[in-house]
Amino acid sequence: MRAILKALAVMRWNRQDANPEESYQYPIFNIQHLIVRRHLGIIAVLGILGAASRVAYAQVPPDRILLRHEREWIKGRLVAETRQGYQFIDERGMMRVVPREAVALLDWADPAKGAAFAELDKMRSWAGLKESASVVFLPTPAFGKDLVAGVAKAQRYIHVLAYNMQGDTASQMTGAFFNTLREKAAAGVEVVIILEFGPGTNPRTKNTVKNFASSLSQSGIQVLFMQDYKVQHKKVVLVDNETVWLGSANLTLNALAYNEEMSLRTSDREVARQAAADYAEMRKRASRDAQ
Amino acid sequence: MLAELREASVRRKISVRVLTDATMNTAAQRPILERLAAAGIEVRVLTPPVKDARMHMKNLVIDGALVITGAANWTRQAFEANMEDTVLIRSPELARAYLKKYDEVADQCDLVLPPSEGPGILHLEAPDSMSRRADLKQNALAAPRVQRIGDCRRVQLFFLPDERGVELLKDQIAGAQRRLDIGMYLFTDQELVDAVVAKARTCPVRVLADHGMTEPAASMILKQLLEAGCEVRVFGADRENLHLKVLVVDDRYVWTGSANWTAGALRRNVEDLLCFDAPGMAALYRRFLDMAAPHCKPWQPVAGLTETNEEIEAAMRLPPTGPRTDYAPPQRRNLGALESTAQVKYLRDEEYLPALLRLIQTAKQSLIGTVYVLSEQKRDAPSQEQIVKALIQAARRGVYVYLVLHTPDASTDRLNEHHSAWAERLRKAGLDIRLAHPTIPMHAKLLVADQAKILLGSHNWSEGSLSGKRVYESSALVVLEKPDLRLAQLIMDLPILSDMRSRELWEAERDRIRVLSRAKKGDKEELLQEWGVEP
Repeated sequence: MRAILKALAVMRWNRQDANPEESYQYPIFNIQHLIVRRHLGIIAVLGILGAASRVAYAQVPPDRILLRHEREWIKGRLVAETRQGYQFIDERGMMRVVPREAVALLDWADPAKGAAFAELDKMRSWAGLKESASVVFLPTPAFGKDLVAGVAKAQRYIHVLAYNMQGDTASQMTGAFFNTLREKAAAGVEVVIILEFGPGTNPRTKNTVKNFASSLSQSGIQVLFMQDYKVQHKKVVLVDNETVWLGSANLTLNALAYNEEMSLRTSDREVARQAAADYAEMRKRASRDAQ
Repeated sequence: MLAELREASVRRKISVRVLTDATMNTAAQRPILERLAAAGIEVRVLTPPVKDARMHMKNLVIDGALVITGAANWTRQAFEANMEDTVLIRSPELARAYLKKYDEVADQCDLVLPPSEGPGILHLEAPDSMSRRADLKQNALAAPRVQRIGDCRRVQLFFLPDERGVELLKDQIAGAQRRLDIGMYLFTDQELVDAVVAKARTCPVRVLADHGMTEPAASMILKQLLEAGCEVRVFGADRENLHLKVLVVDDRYVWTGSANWTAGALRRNVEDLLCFDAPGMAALYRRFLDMAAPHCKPWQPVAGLTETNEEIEAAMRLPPTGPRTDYAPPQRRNLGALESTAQVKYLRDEEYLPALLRLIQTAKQSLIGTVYVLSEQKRDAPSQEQIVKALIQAARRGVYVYLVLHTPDASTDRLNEHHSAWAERLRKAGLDIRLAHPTIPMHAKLLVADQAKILLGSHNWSEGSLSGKRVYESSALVVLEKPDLRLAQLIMDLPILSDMRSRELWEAERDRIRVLSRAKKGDKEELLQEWGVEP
């Protein structure tokens, strides 16, 4: 449709507030304003508790809050958790609400309060946990040292599940570990190492591992190989079915000396029992022949 | 308007025909129609044959020569409160087209209120329904003056439903070269949203929308537009609406009419849709929209409704980061054993995932962890997706989620790409994801909740590992007797990349560190100088 037209446009536009500047009071700005204010910390609620709280500091160590942005600890007293955040009386005695979003970590002076806050009981009952035990967290290089000392105490069994291992010449730490295993095997302790040896392992590693394994077997250490579709990635050491090491560290130089790793040691009876059962399962699946 | 229609009919003996939608035949509105009929006006009511369809046109043809059309209904709301446009077109040809359509519609009308035979009684009182709206404020800002436009080269008129009209509209959006200006009351048709979103990647798009679009369902559309790079603004409050149905393409074409950009309007209703090829008219509309824009709020989603808003807040939750100033290789940490009293659970293979999810879902304040492998983002990775969702939800609850992802030493390792992509996605969701310093083989798989609930072991965050189907794994859940800061601090002290402001920046820093770690001593200083860093 083609036409020479005269079009006349009338626009109707009505707006109450005559001042466009005013109309910039919009939620987005309000939101940002709110957040900024929250991150600055801090809404003063009450100043009157000051004196009392200062007295309180003198008697007990303070609670602390690590601020997320500033990476600074502020000291004071955690009073309560509210919907807005944490009510906190700071060192000057000012009551503030520190929003959740402004907090990186909380540090309760009273461990019982910290445990209650973290709802540890709920997690324990969810996991069916009852008995306490000593648990030692082992980063690098503490893990290697602890493990060498631990296997040295073995009386009957040393059972190892590992993804890979490196020869004892790799480092002092691996040397010490395997030498201890040799001594223990010679003293009649059953030493078994189960390793991943599936299709995913690269041929060069396989060769090295195979050679090392045959040298270990001459010392009476059994090395078994997992060659399933499923990859053996567990890193568990079990001594006398009593003490368990487990974590991220393999039996390699890097794992024991250089990597950032985290493992633990515990003698918790239930954990030892489960780890032993798991090891027994894996042992059934593993074979002596490396293919 | 109604009074004037009646006056025209009664006093000036002009033949008046009103075609309207079935919504006007409700108890509240019917008296208006009856009054019109009583004034000798032929009133026909259309119930469109398609379910939920409307006769939605708002136009007037006078003397078979003048067409008045646009967005405005004949209500006081439209005339006094809304942002509307009305176009008067003097064109017998166009008028004929409208009248032909009117005849068509008239034939389909299932209800005809016969015009009264007599001389008709004329009361020029203000109808009740209007006096009740006296609370509407009068114009404070006047509309632009009536403008005459003489340069209309061509106008195309479609009566919807007519696929050709919608196709042309889409084609024009897709073919825009310079810019799109949209003023739209309802904009929900996904095909048009997609067309505009695609265009927004290559040319500026401004969308002025009505505040009604900020409702949760419709705001997803605004979010799509915003994310595509459109300038999205929203007009109005309770009683005023942006009721336009306008698109200006490249300051040349103007689309207007009665049709909103909804599936119902474009595919079911009786609507008129006009496309003017008229630069002068386009300039006028553009000026009007420019003037209107500052009175529309720049749109950002309201708290809690959409992810976009989450993203804004998320960005605020992340600690600021900046460029690396110290390129000295990080010292190896000689860490000792941390003794504790705790309760422990052994987690084999598939037992890890439920514990992990539980840990994340019940975290109250912090989740601090190290991740050696968070494998590629894939569709078919339900376990991984569960973890990611739970982490995002935790961050939304205000939990501080700080995860250090491993950075491989080799630039060829595909984990580089995966972890960088995860960092980008998860940082947007408010998780403080960090990338480990590339010279640090960060192999730990550790997650600490609230400084007291700990997962560690051999499980990586890959689907095969999490599902327990592809990998034999052993981990442990440790619940400390009381919170202990040491593990969280050990993680937060890990050497990491410094500049997390954008993927580009952290990848650049990562690559520099790699180059530096392989460079000869003399070259190192030269490199640092080149990068503007004090050696």
